[in-house]
Amino acid sequence: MAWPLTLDLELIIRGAVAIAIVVIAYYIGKLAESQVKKARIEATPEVIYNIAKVAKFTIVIIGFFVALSILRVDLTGLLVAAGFAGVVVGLAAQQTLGQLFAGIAILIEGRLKVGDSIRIGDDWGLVESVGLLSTRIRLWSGEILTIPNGDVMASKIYNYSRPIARRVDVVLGISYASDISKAMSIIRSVLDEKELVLANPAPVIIVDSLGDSAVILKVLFWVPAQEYWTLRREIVKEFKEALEREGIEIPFPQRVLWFKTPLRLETNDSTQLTAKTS
Amino acid sequence: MLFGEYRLIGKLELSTPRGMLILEKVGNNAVRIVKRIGELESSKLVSLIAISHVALKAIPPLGGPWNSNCVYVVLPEPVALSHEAVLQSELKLPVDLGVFIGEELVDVIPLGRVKYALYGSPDLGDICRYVDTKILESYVMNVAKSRVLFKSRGNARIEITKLVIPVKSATVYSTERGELYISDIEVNALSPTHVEVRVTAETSYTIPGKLLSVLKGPGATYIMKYGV
Repeated sequence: MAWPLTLDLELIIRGAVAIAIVVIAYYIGKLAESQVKKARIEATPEVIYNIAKVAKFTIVIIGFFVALSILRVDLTGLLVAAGFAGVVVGLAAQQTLGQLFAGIAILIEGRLKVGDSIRIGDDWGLVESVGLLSTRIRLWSGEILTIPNGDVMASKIYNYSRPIARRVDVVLGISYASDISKAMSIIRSVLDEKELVLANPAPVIIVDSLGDSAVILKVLFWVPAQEYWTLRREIVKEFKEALEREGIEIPFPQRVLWFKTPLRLETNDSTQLTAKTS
Repeated sequence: MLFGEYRLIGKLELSTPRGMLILEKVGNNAVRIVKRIGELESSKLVSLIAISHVALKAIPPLGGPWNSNCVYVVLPEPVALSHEAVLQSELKLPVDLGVFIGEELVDVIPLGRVKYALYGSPDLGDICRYVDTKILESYVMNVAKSRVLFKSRGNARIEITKLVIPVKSATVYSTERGELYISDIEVNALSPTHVEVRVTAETSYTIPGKLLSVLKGPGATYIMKYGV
């Protein structure tokens, strides 16, 4: 293949212009990216983010081809070569392309949105961005977790932002000596007083099991999803305070020990006491 | 009776059924609204442009800690509609107190107990203000009457135990005598999973005496798809 350029002044000028065009295209691309991000478009943040990235990439590619044409590079030959190279690159970048298609699928399906509170595997956090190749999650501990989109597609995702209402489950233990009906009525009145505890579906209080040292009650009630953690925290505290105020004991684990032989106890004045086992 | 227009000079203290409402002029272009409900007190500063009047109007029950557009009403008794039946009934709904500066609604104060209910599934449903006879009792006098027209368009008998009313679009009328009315409601029952609840813009009651304040609503329809 014969190169049309010779090493003379014209070549130097063409080279400089080509470089300038690539640099200008890069900055125009960056400008377009930031303008798209700022634009008032009726779309979700993750779609806007990806449109901005594609706009920048397209402008840079156009600039690159313009630069090549200034250098008088035969673009037809290059396109044929690019077609062949595309097959080779496609094979090599199979995984990356997989991530790209997964990214497009996530965006179309709308499984995740920026700002959603999610659990993916063992990780909990807020969706920071949904890119074409990867998704970034800001974990509750502050770190950024980047997950390839293929893995996101294959994972079980719990999205806590999607429902408008969530059920709170609280397990409470009361002593065997306590009045179960009274305890249930106290719990019900605490829930009744809370404006944001939904009246429908109605709260459910059940005797769940008879534990080692307590009667286990299970309290199930619904709240607006956005208020889940605030209400859960407040209500568990109020359950304890209300039950204690009304003399309902919330016991800690107890064990009754039986001794094979009588247990000898000594007091400070050396009097010996004998504890009987029955 | 709280509803009416008040001239704002310095501080205005009004007692509400659940506490206190204090409106305090701060300089020439701001009002501090202090709400006391039981032991809880909250305040906010609202800017105003040379307006010295504050209007307290009866508004649909939309106040409270959650922003909702509808009311989930448990009917005092179920309404059973046979094929092509038409039945007229009366419904009582609570009203909230709307604080208006000029035409702008700046705050809403519920005048009784507030509870919410979920209508539909947790991801596609709506959270609405909840009203049943027990809740209604806490509103004492602040209850508006509405005429409800039930129409059955379905082939089978339909029993209605609850209504979800798009009450944000209702019109509330309050008279000098302290009577409250809310615009008419039409219930078109096509099937147990398709009941249209339409709030009209007007009331068919002949309202006695002079009207004190009216909050005009445009009317709207809510389709109950998750059972009645």
